[in-house]
Amino acid sequence: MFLTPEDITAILLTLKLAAVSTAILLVIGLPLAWWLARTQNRIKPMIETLIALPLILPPTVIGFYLLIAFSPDNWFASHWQQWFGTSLAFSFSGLVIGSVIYSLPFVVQPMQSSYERIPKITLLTAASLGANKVDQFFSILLPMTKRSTIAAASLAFAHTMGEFGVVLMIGGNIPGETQVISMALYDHVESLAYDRAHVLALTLLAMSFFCLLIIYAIDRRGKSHGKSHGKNSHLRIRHAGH
Amino acid sequence: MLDININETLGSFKLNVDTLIPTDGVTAIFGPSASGKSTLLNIIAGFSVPHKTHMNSISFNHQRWLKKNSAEPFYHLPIHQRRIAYVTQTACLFSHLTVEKNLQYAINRRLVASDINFNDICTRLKIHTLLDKLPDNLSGGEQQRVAIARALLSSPQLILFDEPLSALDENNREEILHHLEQLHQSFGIPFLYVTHNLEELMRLADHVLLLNNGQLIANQPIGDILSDLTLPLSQQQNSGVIIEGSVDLFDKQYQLLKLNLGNGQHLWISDANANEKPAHNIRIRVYAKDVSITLEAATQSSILNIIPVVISEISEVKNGQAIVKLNCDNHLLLSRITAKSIQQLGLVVGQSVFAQIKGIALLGAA
Repeated sequence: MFLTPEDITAILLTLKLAAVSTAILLVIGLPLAWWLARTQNRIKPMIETLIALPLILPPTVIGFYLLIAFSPDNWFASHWQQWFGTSLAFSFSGLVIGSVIYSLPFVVQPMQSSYERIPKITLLTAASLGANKVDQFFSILLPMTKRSTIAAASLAFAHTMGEFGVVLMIGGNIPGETQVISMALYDHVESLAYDRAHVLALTLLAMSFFCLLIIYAIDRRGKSHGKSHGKNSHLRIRHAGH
Repeated sequence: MLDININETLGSFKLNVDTLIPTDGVTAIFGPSASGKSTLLNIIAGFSVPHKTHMNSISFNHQRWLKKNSAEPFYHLPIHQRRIAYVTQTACLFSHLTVEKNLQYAINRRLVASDINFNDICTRLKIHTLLDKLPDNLSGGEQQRVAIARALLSSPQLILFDEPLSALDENNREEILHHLEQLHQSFGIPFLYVTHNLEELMRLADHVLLLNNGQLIANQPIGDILSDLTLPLSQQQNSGVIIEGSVDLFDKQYQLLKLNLGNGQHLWISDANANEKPAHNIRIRVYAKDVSITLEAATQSSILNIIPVVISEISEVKNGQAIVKLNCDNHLLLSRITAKSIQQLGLVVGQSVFAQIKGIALLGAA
């Protein structure tokens, strides 16, 4: 029993989606986590709540609202169409946006608590030595939380790979564009092609297993490095509503 | 000049400091715990930002660091543009970088060219052998030496110290104190030094800001502040004065330095480590408890230093103890004696007496 070309397409698409989403999540999520770790702004609880929502909402709810946001008569979607010349609904870009929102808490929450554990005076000392904020981030924060960052990225990657509900709502099932592993699997089961479903399910299972294995291996090493900052002993994989 | 005008309210604590601080030598911010010393230092550093509506200002040699008044909006110069270095109790080295990279971190971010040299600093602070180590593998004293080296290598226009010795044991304290004494003379970088330790104050400070409960009590040169009988420092158990002066000669046979007090007077100071007459001025400390008063100069006494002085002030401390301020030419001494002695000897202000000095500590170069 081997993977069919369509299945391979779905696997590659899933990997691509997970990779692109993870990259975007790091770019958005790390600064956001740093801001949350430092700010005393009154809107902080509001932002934290918004970020945590995907943890408890059924993905279909997020998907539903995204679907509405992506409809061509929507302000956001029509501007997107104008700027990029493609529609968001039933497109890879749309999936990326959905995945980023869906997996944001998996990056922001562990990184926020990682950053909170770095003493404030460490960054102030760096500032006094002439480091501006961006410099502080790259020269102090990022290297000190390297382990947490790798773990958070792996978690976001794994979580994006397993996504179903959001894709179902906004992606449709277009091979090569929006048909990710979970959708292809669903298709196989619907059409009673259990053999193909087995292969695909096993592939996803194995990929997820190794992703998580990496995270927990890093976490363990972090724990054994007693004194170093940014250890990942806080890592918890939460139950998302799916 | 560091021009400070701070009027901050933090909860129920009020910090009011409006003063000018000289930007040469070592200025100590001294006071009991919770007097607002570190809070003041943090505001000067920019580590804590005062409330945007409060009237505060700080400028360093006419460079504006903080400003808010009724006419102007809030202005706060970012920390990284202030050219300061900050040394804390815990050294605060970057744990992911080796000692050498910690030092390079400072050098790479200098805002101005500087001739402060990496090798020179490593030699002075004896950290050459530590360069490849990670900070977590250093002792407390070693970490603090690296932190001081890093501060100097950033070529700052001001170094702020927040009780840098308080986390160290006695040996390490002594070593770091020694380094600090040497360094501030060599580099001419002003130090702003928070401490509540009188010993550190006497050894390092040229100038003192005295704080109590958030209020500035005095801002004076060290000599004045130690000998001012109206200030709390002269009333402490280990109160005393420091005297700075030139050395006339070194007596090799007895290992004694002859300190010139002017007006033909001198003090003999024992220095076991000296080989020759020091070229520079020296600083000594004389505790009030080591100075006694006689009406006539004892000729047969083991005490080497007996000098003619004039009583300029007498203040009763408590429990029958008194502090007497003595003038010798333009130098001051304090003597802690009992109120009973004052009465028995009939001591009054303006009287000429002799001060017998039992112990003198050589603190280092002035």
